[in-house]
Amino acid sequence: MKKIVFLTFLFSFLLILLTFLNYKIEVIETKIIDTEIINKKLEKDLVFFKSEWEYLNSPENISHLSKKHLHHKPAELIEFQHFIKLLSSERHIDE
Amino acid sequence: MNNILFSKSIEINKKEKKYNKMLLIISFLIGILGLVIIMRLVEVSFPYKNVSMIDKNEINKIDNKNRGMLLDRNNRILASNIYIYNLKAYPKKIKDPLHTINMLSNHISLNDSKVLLKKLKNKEKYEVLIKKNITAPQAKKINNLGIPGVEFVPVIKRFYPHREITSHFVGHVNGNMIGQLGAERTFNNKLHKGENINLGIDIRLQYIVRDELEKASIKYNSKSATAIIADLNSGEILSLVSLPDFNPNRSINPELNSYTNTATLNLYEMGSTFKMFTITAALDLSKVNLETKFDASKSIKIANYEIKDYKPQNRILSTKEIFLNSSNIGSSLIALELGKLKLKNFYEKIGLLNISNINLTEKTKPIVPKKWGKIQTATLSFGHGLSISPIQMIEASSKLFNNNLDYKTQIHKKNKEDKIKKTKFLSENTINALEYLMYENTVNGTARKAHLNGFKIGGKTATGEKAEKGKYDKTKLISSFLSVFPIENPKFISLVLFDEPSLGNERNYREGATGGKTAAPVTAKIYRRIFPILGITKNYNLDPELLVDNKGELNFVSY
Repeated sequence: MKKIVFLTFLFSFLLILLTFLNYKIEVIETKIIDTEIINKKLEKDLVFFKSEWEYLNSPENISHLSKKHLHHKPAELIEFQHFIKLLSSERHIDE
Repeated sequence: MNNILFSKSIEINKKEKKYNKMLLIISFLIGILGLVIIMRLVEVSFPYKNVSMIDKNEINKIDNKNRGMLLDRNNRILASNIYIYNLKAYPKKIKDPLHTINMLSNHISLNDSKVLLKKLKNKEKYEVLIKKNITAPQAKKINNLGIPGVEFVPVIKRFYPHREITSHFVGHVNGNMIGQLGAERTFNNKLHKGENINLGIDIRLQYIVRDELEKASIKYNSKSATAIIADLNSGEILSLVSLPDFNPNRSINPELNSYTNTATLNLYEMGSTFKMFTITAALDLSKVNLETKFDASKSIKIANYEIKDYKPQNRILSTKEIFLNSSNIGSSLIALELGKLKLKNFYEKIGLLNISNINLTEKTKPIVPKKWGKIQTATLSFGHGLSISPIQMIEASSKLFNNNLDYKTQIHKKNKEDKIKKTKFLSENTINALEYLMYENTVNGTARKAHLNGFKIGGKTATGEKAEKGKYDKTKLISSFLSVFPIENPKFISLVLFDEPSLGNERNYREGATGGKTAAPVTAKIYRRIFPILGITKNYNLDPELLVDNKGELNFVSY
């Protein structure tokens, strides 16, 4: 009799434990799925922002903006005469 | 009697105890079973399990595998996927259509409010499309208004941040996200699986090349223009521009000229750059050397054809002078000395008679003469009678300067582990002579306008006439310049080509728009801007005058 009671108790206990673990696993699984979805969403957002940044940071756009607001010239090799001209025009601006 | 009674009471007590024990066990078991059932009920009814933080529909929307990105050689985005939103309304759920339209019009422009109001009032309609292509920030703002009966439907769209600049190289996809042109088509399967692909181009170079080519194309009023820069060792295309071009973010009409990749599809009789091949073949396969003399004092007549020079020298010329003066007569004499079979085999070997190896699907077979006689040998020596695409010119020339018959151009970036196969086919002396001729041509020859102080560039100009109705038209030129740099240790090769350029508005000006006057100076302009990026350093022994020590104090910008 004692054995039956003990086995029933053990079986019930294991069943409870299993149920509890099962529940915990499902909670964690749900959390993982949610996190994966959030992660994918964030990845998509990141691609969007990267693409937006690529557009804003494109050589064409920077060239356009620097011409419009800073009056900068693109870097290139220059001849000595042009260099002197540049220096004189710089002085002119300073004055 | 008492004893009997006592023993009976003991028996009853025992039975009671046993009964109590059984009752206890049964109640214990029922209790445990009850607990198990309660636990199950708790598990089933617990709210967390069924109410996820995210709507299940969202999962389906996001789980669709996205097309991979196209990146340049420095991982800059050339093509990516972005979510745009279509705004839809469900008339049955809308209580006040006018108020809905008023709220929406504060944030987005609505095409025809009256028609839309009519549609929203019609409760029999299931859904109404209000506006397409709304960006995420706009959609978020409108969503926050909480207007009942309107919903955003996300749609994935291919986005090309560099628009026209990379159009022919990167290509585009159709509405079903299937590659239709350029790299999008070549790598369609890989991209479809979600793989990212690194292409060989450098967006900084691509921008500069397109910028200079576009300016020049407007200046020379050319029909189309092409520029290619390739790595001589790996075969990677660093820049490929074909003008006119198109914006792949917009709807595309394939029937327009701008849709044609002139670098790989258009066929031209290139002209004098072929002298480079003829002389190389002669130096390598016959007794001709740089000092061998040829009589270019008068034109040559073969059958009914007369071969003349653009700028006649009317004297005996050495091989070197033939190259520097770009003499058609001299080149023809060299080819005839070499023989038609050797010349044909050499052209075949370097791929001039076959389709290009580039891994782009849009390419054309060259137009090769059906008969190869004496006259063809002479005219083909200076690039008349054989039509090839600009990319073939790059491939054939690269085989010479890299001394590698296995050279292949490719649009993707090579992996570091990939081994480069090399089959040499020219002697060292031939290569040295060729490099010397190319350099001399930029200093003393027809390509002087491409010369840059302090840099050793080698190049050959070419001016071909277009054939129309069996005759060559002097006013319709194909002007190009092929160059290699740095010439003492060639690393890069470039070709700039203009289709029907003009030096002015009058028809006569078209005759003078040679490769030396159009393509060569444009190449120099491009080099001025790309050399700092490519790390090509100035040789101060060649030009000690140029010193830009305090460059930092000037308003320069690098991009």
